[in-house]
Amino acid sequence: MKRIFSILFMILIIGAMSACQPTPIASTQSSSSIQEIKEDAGTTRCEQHFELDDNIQLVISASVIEPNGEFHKGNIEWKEIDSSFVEKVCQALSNNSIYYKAIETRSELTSSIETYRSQLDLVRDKLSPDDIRMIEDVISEMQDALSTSLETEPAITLNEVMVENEAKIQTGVNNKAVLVISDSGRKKFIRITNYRWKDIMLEQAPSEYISDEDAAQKAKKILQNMGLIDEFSLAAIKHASSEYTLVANWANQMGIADYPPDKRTELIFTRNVGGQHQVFSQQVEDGTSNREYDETVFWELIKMYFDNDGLVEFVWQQPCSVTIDSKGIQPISIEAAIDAMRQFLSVSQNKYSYSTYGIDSKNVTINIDRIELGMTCILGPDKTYLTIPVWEFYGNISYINTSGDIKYVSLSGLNAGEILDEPELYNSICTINAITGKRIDRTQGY
Amino acid sequence: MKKRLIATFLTLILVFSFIPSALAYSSSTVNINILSYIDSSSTYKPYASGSSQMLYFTVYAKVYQTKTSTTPLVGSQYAQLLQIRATDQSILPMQRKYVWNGDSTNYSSLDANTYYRIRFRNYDGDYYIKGSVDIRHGG
Repeated sequence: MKRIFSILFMILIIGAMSACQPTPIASTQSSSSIQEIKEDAGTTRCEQHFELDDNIQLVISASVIEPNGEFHKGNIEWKEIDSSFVEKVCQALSNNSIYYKAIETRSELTSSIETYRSQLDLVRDKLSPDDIRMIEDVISEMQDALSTSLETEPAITLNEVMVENEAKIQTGVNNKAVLVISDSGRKKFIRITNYRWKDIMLEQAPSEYISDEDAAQKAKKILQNMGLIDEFSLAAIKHASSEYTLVANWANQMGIADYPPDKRTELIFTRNVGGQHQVFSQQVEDGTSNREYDETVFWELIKMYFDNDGLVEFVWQQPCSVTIDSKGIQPISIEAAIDAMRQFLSVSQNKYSYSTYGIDSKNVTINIDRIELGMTCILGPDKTYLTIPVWEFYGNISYINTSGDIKYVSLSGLNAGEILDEPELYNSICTINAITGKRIDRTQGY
Repeated sequence: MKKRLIATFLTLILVFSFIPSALAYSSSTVNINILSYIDSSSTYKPYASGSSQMLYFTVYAKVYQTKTSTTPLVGSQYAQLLQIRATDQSILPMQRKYVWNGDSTNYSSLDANTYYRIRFRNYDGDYYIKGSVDIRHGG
């Protein structure tokens, strides 16, 4: 009997030791370019399989990013988006220091109306009366604006820009970009969008994706110009495409036309804290969505969108500074973090995400495909904002439907609550505070 | 004669039972142009629908780059989360969208004697949600 116990004990010890050993990483992550950026991160693999209550499978087949170096705790102070801040950002992206009133010029409106009209004429007989009415309303609004429009945008002062919270700036020989400032409400940001009106509306010039590497190089140059290259790191790469007009959008969706979409490569940067990168997930981008209106918090991000013409859009959201207040924190081990994550999933099983669809828990698998130790921002006591190290468990929840197909439950972002054919990128299954070992509820912010 | 009287009586009951529901609500339109939120300038009393006290909202709106632009932004990357909230009530989320073309939502268990102010909120707050919301309310 004792021998049996000894053998079982040995098997358990060996099993536990072999659970998360460093193995060469097979770069199957669709966010592989992110891993390349994190050059100093020690990367291993973790393969584990658990059965949770109600027969839910928890499968960990993940790359583990555990960076070297010390971790710190810090305090966040939000920065004001004042005139000097706006000036600094605009100087890095504009080729002169003139601000223009953010109006739609006569030629811009004329070309927009022409494009909308001609596109509508081509598909009018295939659209519903409601859709046609909406498009005609859009054209009618443009025509109203046309009646009082100007040929060119008048120049305005920076003070006027700060009052209006919008302007245009010169970004190319022919192009003026739209500047929008939001310094009130919950989300502060500065956004500069190079709309390429003439190319889009008159010449119907399609935009194309550029490679992730090209986009990263261009973004680095912009951060260098702004003096931010050492302060921010690339956290995510996404791709988006959409049509330029509502008519084209609806016609393409209905399959009655094939208008070229506007394709963009999106890069998201987060602030380094004490020399360590921040983890990024869709939940971080979504902010603390479950809180009351006045308490909702968004976190700092710099987003840049590129196409084959260069920078299309630049957004700096919730700019902040971080003061390190304690050094040399020892994060909990990955084993302790997995244990905490497993305990949380045993209790919650993310049940809310699939039980509403009547999905049988026996068919549900929680997949963890990336585990990362990094910094993140959370709400502290007394309306303070902190940065702390966390273990982020990325992955998805899948299930087998009645036809035997694997489907995924969307947990965040644009498709939150939907059933998808493909897993979503940058989705957090669980975040564990690497100091306390407790789970962080991203929707609550702590 | 008796039959005719009963028939007339029943018809009258039928007609009068329809009148209250036909006239049970009024409609008001609130224009919105929000990056953050806007509160309705008026307050609204619920209308009776069966045993429920309701406020009913129908949204016609699109997403725009600036507060004055007339060319709508198109595509899911511009989608914004519109939320509607009556005083002291839970938030009614509309879907994250870039076009609301008659999308509707409602409160159904309100206090018949309370006038509610309505807050229209752009949760994401990245782009302007511009358009109108029709509110069906009590008279």
